[in-house]
Amino acid sequence: MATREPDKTDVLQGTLDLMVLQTLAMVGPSHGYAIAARLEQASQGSIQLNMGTLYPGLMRLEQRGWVRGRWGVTDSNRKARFYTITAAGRRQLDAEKAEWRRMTSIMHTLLSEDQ
Amino acid sequence: MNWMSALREWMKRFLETLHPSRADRELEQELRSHLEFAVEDARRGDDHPDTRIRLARIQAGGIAQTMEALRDQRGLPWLADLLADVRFGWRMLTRSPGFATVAILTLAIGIGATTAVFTVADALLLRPPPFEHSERLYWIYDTNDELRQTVNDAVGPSPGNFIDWRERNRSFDYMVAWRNWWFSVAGPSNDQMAAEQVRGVMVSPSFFDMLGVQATLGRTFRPEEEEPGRDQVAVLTDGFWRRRFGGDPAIVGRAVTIDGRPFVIVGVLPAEFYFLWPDSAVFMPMQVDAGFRSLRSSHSIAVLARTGPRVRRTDAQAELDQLSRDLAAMYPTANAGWSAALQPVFPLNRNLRPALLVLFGAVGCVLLIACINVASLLLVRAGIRRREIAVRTAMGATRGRLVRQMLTETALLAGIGSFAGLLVAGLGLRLLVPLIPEIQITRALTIGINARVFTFILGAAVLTAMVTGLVPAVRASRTERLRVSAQSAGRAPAGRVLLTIEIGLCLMLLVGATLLLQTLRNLQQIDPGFRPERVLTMQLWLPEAKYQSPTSVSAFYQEVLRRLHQFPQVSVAGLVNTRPFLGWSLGATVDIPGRVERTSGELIVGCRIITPTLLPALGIRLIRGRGLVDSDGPGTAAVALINETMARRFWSAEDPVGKSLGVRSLGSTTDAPWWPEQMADMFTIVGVVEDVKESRLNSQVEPVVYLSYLQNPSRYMHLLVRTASVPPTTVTHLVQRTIQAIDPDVGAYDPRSMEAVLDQAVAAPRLNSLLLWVFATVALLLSAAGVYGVTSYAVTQRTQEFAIRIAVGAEARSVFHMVTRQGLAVAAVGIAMGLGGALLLARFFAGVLYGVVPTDPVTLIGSAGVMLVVVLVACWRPAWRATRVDPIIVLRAD
Repeated sequence: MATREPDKTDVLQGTLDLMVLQTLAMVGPSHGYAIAARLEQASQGSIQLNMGTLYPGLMRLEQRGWVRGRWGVTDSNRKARFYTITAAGRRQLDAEKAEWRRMTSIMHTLLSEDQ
Repeated sequence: MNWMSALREWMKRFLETLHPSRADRELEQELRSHLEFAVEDARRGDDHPDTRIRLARIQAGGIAQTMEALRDQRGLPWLADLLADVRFGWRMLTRSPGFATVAILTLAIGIGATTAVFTVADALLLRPPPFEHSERLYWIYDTNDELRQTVNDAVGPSPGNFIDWRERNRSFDYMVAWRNWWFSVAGPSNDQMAAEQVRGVMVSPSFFDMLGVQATLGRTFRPEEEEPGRDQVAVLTDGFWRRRFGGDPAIVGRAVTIDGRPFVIVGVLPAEFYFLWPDSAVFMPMQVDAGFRSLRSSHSIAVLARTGPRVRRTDAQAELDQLSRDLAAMYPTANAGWSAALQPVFPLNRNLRPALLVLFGAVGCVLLIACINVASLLLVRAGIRRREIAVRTAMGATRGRLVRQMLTETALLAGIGSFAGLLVAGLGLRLLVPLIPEIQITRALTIGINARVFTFILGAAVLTAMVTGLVPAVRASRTERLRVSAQSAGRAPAGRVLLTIEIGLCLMLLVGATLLLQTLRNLQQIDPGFRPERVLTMQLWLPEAKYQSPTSVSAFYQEVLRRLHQFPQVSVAGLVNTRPFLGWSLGATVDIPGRVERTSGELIVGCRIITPTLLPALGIRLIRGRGLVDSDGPGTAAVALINETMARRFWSAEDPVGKSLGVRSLGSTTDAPWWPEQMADMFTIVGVVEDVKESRLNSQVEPVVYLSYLQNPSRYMHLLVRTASVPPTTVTHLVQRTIQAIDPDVGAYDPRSMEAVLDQAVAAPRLNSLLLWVFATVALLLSAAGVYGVTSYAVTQRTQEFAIRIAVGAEARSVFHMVTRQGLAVAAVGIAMGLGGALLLARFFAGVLYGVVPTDPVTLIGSAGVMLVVVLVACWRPAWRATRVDPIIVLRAD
């Protein structure tokens, strides 16, 4: 079995799902590199995903039925595997977004009381 | 919804483990294209493209690591590992077919034997009966202080008592009366078939509700159907319905004739149903009329009851005790001194439990020995695979992984061994089932592999795998030095320890088998008190409607005997109401004038109605006085014989011949069909006969009084025909035809030879003895194989040492002795352990032995001797091989 650092990967996995699904929902079908590049850009360089994190995550999303992967061709005629969000994926995205917002507002309330 | 998608993920990963849908190559392609994109992006830009490219590549990560992470996500790693282990284990086994065959065969014998014994125990003892709340069902008996000291320490309750208990109790959900007997059944008026004698059961109407049994056709009884006038309804069993009425549903609602009276069939019972008697044909309500309610002196019914949901047995018993006291106060003449006793109905065959426990222990020993043999084999094999294990450890295999992989191999062995064990069990059962003695069962004894047995096999297999594989696996996974020296294999001390255990177990089995054999011999030598050779027996029953008067009854029997005595093959024929080893007997209450009356109860003794010819027919010896003669008829003085036990009990200091005896409560106004007519109250004792064993061979004989069939005719008798020189069963047809010729309506059932009957009495101990000897033999063979294997291996390990010894001049004989001494040392320790074990477990054996104690020194020493001889024989060949070691060849090869 591959040696992993359990804590970092598991925590990241939950948010990784959300980030990838959101990206696909916003941008449409993309291949793996495009997703990683987009996330790096949108986070102004804070989020840098390497293959070892991204692709197992994408595989997992595919196994859960939230994205679908197909081989296709890029604008520059390169072969790449494109991922599309599914209807179930959109539902999951909405659910997770709602959950995230709820958590954020709770934390916000909690932390602002310190003042 | 998260759990659904998680389930989907797991399903996909499971399927992927078996067959990956995305090949590795495709995954790599995706990763490579990712890298290309990254490099391309890094190339755009002006300054230092190479650095950026390198940085981009580093940042993207490595393909190899990502592939590993992908593989972990794609399948189920632990499952993939397991499958890999199984494949590897399978390859290892097929590479050494000899080892695999021996191991599988050994395990198959162990698991198969255990399964066979478990199947029998399950069918006889463990399988729950198909009735509701069967654990709350009890028999209720009547008993008193006097009875408790005799062999038959309880009798059926009286009808009056039953009614009172039923009305006054609070502890019982249901209480029913029960009586089974033979009835003459004729079909509806248009039925051409003759009347048939069948077994029928009279029960209280709530009987079927109590058991939770419903009719498949029609209904069972209603509560009011025990009242006179409403009780002429009947329910048929499925078998009888199909056999007699052709399975015709129209029979429900029609009337049949039972014992000359019309009964309306109201229902048919389910096919698998029977309760204690497989040949019951018809059920009728037990009529409760004024006579029934007030009858307290005759103990002529059986009572079954079911306790309420949360009522404990002790509480129910306490309530019954209180009720008994109340009844004794209300009806002192009938009930003084009587109390009620509860006995659980299920599990049946409780008395078989000690024997089955012993069998289980024995078969467990065999299984353990088999496991130990296989474990030794594995240990040897692990020694041979040292190098492979060292290499694998060096390449990064963890100890846990190695152990797991070896256990998988053992599990494979155990799995295949279990399947083979199933075959062994099936074969063993086919041989075993015909030998099982007749016993009561709740349904047809279908001994087969069912779900419970299968679970047992699975458990046995897993346990076997663990026991067999753990020690070798743990030992083997210890990191060995790569540099293997000739001596480092060690002398396999673990193998020797296992061997001592094996020898110990084998010795215990040997001791057990010998003890059981002695028990069997002792039982077979018990004098039953009669001569069973060449005696045919069958049961006769005269229908009451046809034989109303006592003289017609005795006339019939006289005619039977007269005709039978004309045949040359018949030496002498006689009749008795209950024959030995029937399973039940008739009791009567006696008064002995001059005897101090105890307040605690009445004297109940066995009561036999006999013809004078019975004594010579059965071969019962007369000890004092005279036997009965034909002139002891209805008009003359009432006479009786008693047996030795009765004479000793009541007339120990004097001669009982000539004394008077009062016999009561025989066939009073009841309808108990097995009671004879009573025509006198006081009898004179004219003779004493020897004791006859009538129930169990190794139990005491009850006091018995013998009365004349002419003076107390009984419609229920057993015929005993002693043949002159031919086997008794050859005259069966002759006898049956004779009876048919006198009266075709008389039932003649169950012809057997008395020798066969007596044989049944020792059937159980014989089976136990046989089984244990089979196990002991198997264990001896396995142990011998184990000793041979371990000694051979030890010799192989010490070849160098022997070579040196021989080279410096040691005699062949001393080398031989060295090896055998080692074997004997192991044997000695094993025998000591075995003896210790046998002594420890002695008390579990006590229940199945007769005439010999579990710690019998002769048996112990003898078994130890046999064990020693076996070990010596097994050691012989390896020791001989040790002497043949050629020092030149061995030393040169080093």
